[in-house]
This record gives sequence, C-alpha cells and structure tokens, in this order.
Amino acid sequence: MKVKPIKIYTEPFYPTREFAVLNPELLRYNVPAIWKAKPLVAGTLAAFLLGGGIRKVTAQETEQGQVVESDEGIAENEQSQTRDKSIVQVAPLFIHGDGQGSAGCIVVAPPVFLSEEEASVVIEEEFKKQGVIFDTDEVTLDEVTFEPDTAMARYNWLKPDTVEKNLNLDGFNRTLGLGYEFVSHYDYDELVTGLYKQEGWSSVSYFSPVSLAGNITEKLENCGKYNVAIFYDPMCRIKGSSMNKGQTPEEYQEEQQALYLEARERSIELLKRQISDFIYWLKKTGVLDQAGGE
Amino acid sequence: MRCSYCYSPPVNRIDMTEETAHRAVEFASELYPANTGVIFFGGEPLLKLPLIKSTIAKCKQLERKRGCSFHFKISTNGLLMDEDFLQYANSVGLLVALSLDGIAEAHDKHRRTTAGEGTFDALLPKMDLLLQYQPYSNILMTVTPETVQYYAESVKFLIEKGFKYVIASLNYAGDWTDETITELQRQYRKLARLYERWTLEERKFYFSSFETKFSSHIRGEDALCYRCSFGKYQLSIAPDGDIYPCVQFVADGVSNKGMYTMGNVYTGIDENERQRLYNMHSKADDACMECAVKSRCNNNCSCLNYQTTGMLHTVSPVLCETERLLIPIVDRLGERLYRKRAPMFIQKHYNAVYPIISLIEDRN
Ligand code: SF4
Repeated sequence: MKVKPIKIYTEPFYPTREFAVLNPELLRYNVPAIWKAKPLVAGTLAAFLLGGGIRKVTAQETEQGQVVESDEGIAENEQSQTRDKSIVQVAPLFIHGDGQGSAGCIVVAPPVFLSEEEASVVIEEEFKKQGVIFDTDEVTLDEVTFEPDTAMARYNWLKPDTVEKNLNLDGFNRTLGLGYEFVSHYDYDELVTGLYKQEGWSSVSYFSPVSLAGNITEKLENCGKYNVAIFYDPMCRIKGSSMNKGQTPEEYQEEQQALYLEARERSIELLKRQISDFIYWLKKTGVLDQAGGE
Repeated sequence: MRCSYCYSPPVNRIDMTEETAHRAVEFASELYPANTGVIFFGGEPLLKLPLIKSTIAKCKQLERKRGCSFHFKISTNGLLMDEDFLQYANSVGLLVALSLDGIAEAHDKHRRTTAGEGTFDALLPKMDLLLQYQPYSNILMTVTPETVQYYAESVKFLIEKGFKYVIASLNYAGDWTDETITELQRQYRKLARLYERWTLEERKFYFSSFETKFSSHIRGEDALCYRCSFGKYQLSIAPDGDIYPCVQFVADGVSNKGMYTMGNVYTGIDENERQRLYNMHSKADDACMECAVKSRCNNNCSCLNYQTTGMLHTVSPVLCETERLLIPIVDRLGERLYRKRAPMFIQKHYNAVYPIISLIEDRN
C-alpha cells in the first residue's frame, strides 16, 4: 500500500450548498412526508424557508381534481366564498411534477421539455371545456418584473441579458380578467439566468421552471391585482436504457423514441392536473361562475 | 476492559485529582465562557463517577457565580452504566456516548475484559437502557481489519436497535492488507445501499463516515470549521493537568510530556508551543499536495497521522487507500439520492437549519 494522490477527480453531480442558497425551492419542494405530518415541524420549516409566507406551494402530489390540501392557501380559499369578489385572490401554485432538472451530455435521464406552443394547446383545451376562451396573448403585467441573476452565469465568457423584463402572459380572457402563464425552461433562461438563446454554452444546463413559477406567484401575490393561473413544465424524466445485446440500432432508436413519448405523455398528464386543480380553485373562489362551463 | 486496539493502555496509571479536575474546568471556562464543552474520557471514566459528579457540580457552581455555561459528554464502555447513572446523567445534561463495535462477532473480537471475555452480552441490556434514557446518544464504533467483514451488518444492527448516531472510525494502525481493504470496499458499497434505503424511507440517522464525506463536497470549506483545528478549539487535559491538542497524545499515567504538551491548567497555555504545534499540523503531507481530493480527505487529521506514522503530517498509506475508495462510493450515493430528490437527504445536507428542525422533530 502506498500514498497515491488522485490526479483527476470529476466533481460529483450533486450540488453544493451554494446552489441551495440560489435555489431556495430545492428545500421548499423536497420536504420529508414525516415532517409534513408533524404540524410543528412543518410550520417551523416553512417559517425558516419562506419567512412566514407559506402560502403558495407544497411538494404534495394530489390526485386529479383535488386541491392541494396542506396548503394554507386552501384554508384561505374555504373562507374566500364569503369575501368581497372585487379583491383579487392569487391562486396557490399547484405542484404536479418536479419542474426542474438538467439536460446535457452527461445527464443520464434528461427530462422532456414541453414547448410553450404544446402547453398552450393543452391549457386552452382544458379551459375551453369550462367555457373560458383566452382571447389575447398581448397582456403585459407592468408590476411583475424580473432581473436576471447574473450570478447564475458562472463562466465569464457568457453575456447574460441583464435587462429587466416584465411578465407577458401566454393567454388572457378580457371578460373575466383572467390570464395564464406557462413557465417553460425558456422562461427560466430568459427571466432567471438571462442566458436565453445562448445555446451550447455549457455541456450541462440546469432549469427550474417550478422555482420561477413559485417566484411569479409570490410577485402576483405582492401586487394583488391580477387573476393569473401559473403552470409550469413538469419536466418528466426520460427513462434511460442502454442498447441490449442483439438489438439493432433501428430497434434501439425506436425504443428511445417510445421512452421519449412516454415521458412526454406523463408531463402532459401532470400539466393537466395542475390545470384541473386551478379550475377547482377558481370554482371555489367564484370566478368561474361568470364563465359557465360545458 | 483490555481492548486490543487501545491507544492509551493502562501503564504507569495515575488518577486525576479532584483539585486538578476542578482547575481544568475553571481554566477551560475562562478560555471560552459562552459555552464550554467538557468531555470525560479515559480509560473508563465511569470508574471515577464521584470525580465526574464533583466536577459537574463545580461547573454548575461556576455557571451560577460567573454566568458561564457548560455542556457535558462522556465516552464509556458501558459496563458500569446503570439506571442510577443515567438518571443522574439526564438530570445534569450529560450526554452518553457508548463505545460499541456492532454485532457480537465484531464487538467481542477486541472489546474484552481483563479475563479475555467478550463484553457484548453484558452490554445488550445496557443498550436498551441507554436508548430509554437517551434516544439520541452516540455510538462510537471502531472497525479493524479483523472486524471489517461485519461492518455493514454492525451498522445495520445499531440502527435497527434504535441508535441514530453512529460514529465509526477505522483503526488505521491495524494490520490492513489488500484483502481486508477490498473487503472494506465491499462493506462500504453495502452501507451505501443501506444508507440509500433508510434515507428514502425518511429515517433519521447519522452515519459519520458518509456524512462527513457528503459535507466535504456540499459544504466545502465550511465543513472544515467543524474539525478540531489541533489545539485551537479543543484541548485534552491529562491526569496531571498537562494540556494536549488531542486525546491521542495523552498517554495514560504520567502524561506524555515533551513534544506535544502545550501548557498546564495551573500555569496556562504556552502560546508559542500552541502556535508551534498548530504550524506543524497545518503543513500537509507533500504527497497530498497534488491530490485532487485533498480538501475532502482526512489527511489533515494530525492526531491520526501521529497515531499511525508517528509524525503529524505524514499520512498513512492505509488512510490514503481507504479515503480513495470511500470518496467515490459516497459521491455516487449522493448523486443517486439527489437525482431521486430524496427529501431527507436534501434537508439533512442542504438546509442550514436542519439541526434545529431535527431537534424540534425529536421533541414532538
Ligand atoms: S487520498 Fe491520499 S494522496 Fe490524496 S489527499 Fe488523501 S491521503 Fe493524500
């Protein structure tokens, strides 16, 4: 046995604590179930993580049609039926799907990304069933602004776009004053890292639409003026598989394609759950009475 | 007992007097009045229970008189631990750490009585008693080449028994061979699978060998703050009142005067000596300087180096070999747990207030 220095050691693919500081949603969305079951523990954690504003998120996956039950926002919703309807209430963020992940050469199970267009088709279809048509996508919320965090661009050859941006809604119904925003991985790069369209700048990229969705909800809550549904890309992972013995490249490619489609289906399903939770919430708050569903 | 791997075997034995013990705590609280930790170690400290009680009473008196604050720990082989003692321990806030090497086959290999008999059976009922009084007590476990094949099974036994904090150390001074090192690697892999399972089950436990390696990556330089810094944050007092940077240097009996003494509780710390020792400790082994994992490796534990090579900054090949196999196993485990977004892993390692939340959880 000898003392043998290691010449090269690849950094492991789990982040450092610095990352958790920059991405507080890591702690917010990954809460042990046994903690959630203990109100004092859950409450203390929430107080530490959110500085008291626990309202918008839980890491709880709900069944379709059920609103997230452990969210304080829901308790508020129950009371809301007796409230003055001129006061805009902001919906909690409904968590279905990780909404975060990495893609790149060394990522074993990359996620499927839903494009803005794909998501819009799903969202608008679901709302149509409730009699809600989004008649414009040209609504900008002046009070909801974002300044990309340049610290996210760790490499000095990158030139993050640091211009402050407003939130442009993906759809808006003028009669109801109701809009929606689907937070995609592009939004994450546009509003959080400022690295939008800097393709190929790194062999691995990290995206967290869920954290941006949480952030938007918080901003909407602070300004208290808009009825906006916030959805995010669930980013389901593609199950990895290596080529089996005896498999032809074509067969392998077909299998990969099937795995991709399967992950995409799961993402769409989770997005639909976010939508149905939101619609349920809308009905509870009375906004949807004015639209009249199918 | 006569444990075969003891680094402080009973030769030229002298006992610490009450006067020296009282002076030692007075001296320590002058250095750091806000929160002085007192650890009773030996030999077997419970052989001197009256002295421990009188020392803790002295601390309580100092707290009242000077407004300083103490907390207490004891490392014991457990044979003299009984209900009366545990009641006393709880009443004064004395945390018990039990030296226990795991299952009977591992424990009895080295931890024997003077008559050469294993002590596992005698300890079995004491484990339950300890858990009843102090469910969060630490287990201090030593793994040797002779017991390495029981490593994973032993940790599993302890966790399933109900212990939550397992502090495992390898006996680097043992007779490690290529075969036993390969076995250690196999055991670490088994432990990684257990760790993963328990974490996904959201069990609360602390397994030092893995936790410290996770921390060395996740918290980087911050994790180093928790080390003893060789005589800067932690001192060891010999029976005659001499001060050492670590228990490893306190040879039993008339203490190991000379190279590593940095003062005496009656005369105070010799700052030049302390600085000299600290400087000696700060120098890394030349071989490690070019190593990619040097900041994550235990190479800078001077006490271990001293124990194994007789030199503060000469690393033992056994330590090097075992660190090189442990770090990648822990990193692959960390990657798996992170990929699965295991909530307990994430909270334990990324949440700065985890200790507080964990404490609240324990009490509810
Ligand atoms: S792995 Fe070996 S060479 Fe590298 S720092 Fe540790 S002891 Fe030194």
